[in-house]
Amino acid sequence: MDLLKPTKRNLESLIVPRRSCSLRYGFRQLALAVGLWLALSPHSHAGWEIVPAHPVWLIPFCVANPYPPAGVNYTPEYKPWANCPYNEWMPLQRGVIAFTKGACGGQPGDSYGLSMTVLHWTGRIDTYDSRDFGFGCALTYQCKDGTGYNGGPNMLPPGVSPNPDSLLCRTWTPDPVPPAPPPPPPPPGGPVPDPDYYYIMLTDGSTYPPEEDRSGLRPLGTLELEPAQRTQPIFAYVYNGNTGEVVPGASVEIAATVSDESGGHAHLANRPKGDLIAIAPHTGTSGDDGVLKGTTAANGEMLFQFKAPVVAGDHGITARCTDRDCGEASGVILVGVKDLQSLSIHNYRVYKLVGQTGAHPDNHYLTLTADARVTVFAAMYQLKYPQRSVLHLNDASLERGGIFDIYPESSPNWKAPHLEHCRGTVIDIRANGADGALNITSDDDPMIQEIKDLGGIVGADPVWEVPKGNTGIRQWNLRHFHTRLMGQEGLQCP
Amino acid sequence: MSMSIRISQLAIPLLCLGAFVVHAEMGVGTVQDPVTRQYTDNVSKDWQEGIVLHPQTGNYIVTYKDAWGFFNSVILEPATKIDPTLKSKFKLSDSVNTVVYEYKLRNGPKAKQDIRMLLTLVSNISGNPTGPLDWDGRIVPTFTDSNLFLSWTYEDKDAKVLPLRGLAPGKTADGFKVESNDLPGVVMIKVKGNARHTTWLGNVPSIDTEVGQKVVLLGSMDHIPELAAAPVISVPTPFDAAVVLITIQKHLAQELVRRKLVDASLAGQLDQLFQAAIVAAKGGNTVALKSNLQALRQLLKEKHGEMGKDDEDKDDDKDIDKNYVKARDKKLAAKVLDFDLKYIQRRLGDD
Repeated sequence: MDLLKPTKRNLESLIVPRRSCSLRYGFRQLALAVGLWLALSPHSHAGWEIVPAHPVWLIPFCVANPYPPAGVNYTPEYKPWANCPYNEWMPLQRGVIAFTKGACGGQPGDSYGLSMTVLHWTGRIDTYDSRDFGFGCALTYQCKDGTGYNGGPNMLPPGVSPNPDSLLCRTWTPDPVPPAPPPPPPPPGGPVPDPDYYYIMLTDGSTYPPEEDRSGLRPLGTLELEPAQRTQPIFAYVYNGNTGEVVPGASVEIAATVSDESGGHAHLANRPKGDLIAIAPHTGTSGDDGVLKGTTAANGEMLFQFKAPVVAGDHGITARCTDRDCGEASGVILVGVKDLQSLSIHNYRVYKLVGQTGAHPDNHYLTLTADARVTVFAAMYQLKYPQRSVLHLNDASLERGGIFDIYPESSPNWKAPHLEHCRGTVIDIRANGADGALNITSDDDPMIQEIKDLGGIVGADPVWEVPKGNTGIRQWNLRHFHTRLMGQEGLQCP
Repeated sequence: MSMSIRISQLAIPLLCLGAFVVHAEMGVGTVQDPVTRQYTDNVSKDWQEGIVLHPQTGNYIVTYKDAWGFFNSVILEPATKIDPTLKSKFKLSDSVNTVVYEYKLRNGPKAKQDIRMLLTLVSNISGNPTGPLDWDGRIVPTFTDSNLFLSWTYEDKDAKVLPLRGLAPGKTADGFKVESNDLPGVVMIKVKGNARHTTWLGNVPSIDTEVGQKVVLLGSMDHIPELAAAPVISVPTPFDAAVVLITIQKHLAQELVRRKLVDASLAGQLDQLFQAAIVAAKGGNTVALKSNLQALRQLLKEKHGEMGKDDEDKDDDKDIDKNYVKARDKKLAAKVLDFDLKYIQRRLGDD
């Protein structure tokens, strides 16, 4: 499955290729292009081993030839790759590609910064899993097998592989660190400093290793979750940095956060952070502050789950100790419905997108199939009624689906639902005559049936609605077609 | 087809939903009069959510609570107050490998609604569908698979008032036509009457509610199903007899047997012969393939007699019973299979 698209505003560097330009090219052309690219590329990037290209390596092709060949249409699908805004693309292994963004200036410690993302082919021709490998220039990692790379992350705690998927190398060691100078002797009669140091780690249950072998614990990283669903158990461990042993009885605080303006919601007040729910033997649930407190058990772990709110968004989990300094561990949980895409503004000849608000600036996300159906629907309407204005398409779903809270208009409350607008299968067609929209003049207007007939032809069901709102009075000015584009599919909201 | 049959078909959703009511609850809401369709707002009473049949009009009354907690009672008119008879014909066109499909639609004189739409799924067609005067044929991808929506809708030009027109009771429309490179199978064609739309106040009952689920269910059954021949057996280019035979075999098992258009015992015999023919086709054993095709056709002929003749207009304007309809549909299935097998024989140069 595709990784959820991270909210554009917050995770700009975490680019997820959703669709490749390759679909418009034959494999023979692709192989030629990839081969050419490999031939022209330096065969070493800071110690990476370059392995033979797999036919699904599509991205380098875009670098080698950023524009469609003659006779191939420039399409929105092609666009991301035609831009190829990244400095460098690097094949790491079969089906694995990395790209960097930014510049380091060549010297460790430079302030420019270089971020790196690794894309791992998931087995579907146009789908890559994505891992953000952090940001920075200062460190050089050296793999035990002799490979290594520059410009890698500088935010990983000691003992944590920069490549949890073993994409770059199986094991690694950091650059040798010069031995620390001996500690100064304690002042006479003063307290003896504690020689121990601690660090905390979060890992998810899906990779929980057996007790006897926890050396390969995988940090939490990025998880994906549907609205209102719970994660697998998440484990917080506190380690003694000297001995490598887990620490029972450590006081731990887990905090849930949510990024502003993520998940398609640009309104801020009272945004739900999701719930942290302790798992036995621990107890408790996070409150409005999003904080869950507890103590590591005898085996050094504290277990909990994250329950996503009904709205989509980018959530973070941070763990730290409250009785000692153990640093901080964190993970990201992308909450939302996968595989939604925005209706293209380029189809303005057949429809007009309306209804964007300050709270929800992008309100036209649909599944691929629903997108196709409403586009054909609108095109057929336009063909049939060329003298009329094109259909005005109002709310569909938000960027990552979930509850589409439309009330109260001035400050949506994360609850009041726009019914069935959660999974990208429903869109409203405005019919109140506003700004040139279709104008249904009465409940007896034959155009209602005409629209329903058109919908039936494309497998959609335009349901004629006259909202009442919170007054209980019919609000004729809000009349519209609540259009189910996929039959019964995707109508349920969390 | 007789009204008694149609009424029994109409009764299916009624049996499921006729007594469907949820608990009563005091509240305020809007009631639409089942006859005049006028609204009365601010009605305060003990509301019972559910769907009930209004016997006087034959429509449903749907009572539900909207997202804001207000109640609404609105009319849902089924599009099944029609009495359709749909006949299909198919033949090879002059350009040998194209099949021409033609349909004739009749609305029985006892129908209460005009017929407004025909809708089905096909695998492919050549060109555009054509239809009688005032009927608009359309072909649209489903976007969920390789199939296409094939539809004809009555075009009520310059309509100013409801209800819109369609094929009136007692009338017949001929000339619904498509051409396709694909071979016929038996499909269900949805025939819909010109029911007046429902105005959902507040919001259509959510799928998350019991009433909402029943409304969706009603919508999925809101048509009269008619069986007819249509292009659903894909013919690959270049021609591959094994692929075509596999598709026909699948159609036999998944559609014809499921719809009881082919008896189980005959289906078993046919399946064995299909399997043998497929093996022969895959192995390039043309002699064995031709022999199996002939055996298949012979078996169909033994069970169903000659299949070249149509029952032209036999059932127009007559009350016909359910058994006759079943026999007619079975014969259609046999005729379709025979046509497909004969087509393969022809492509093998055996005709």
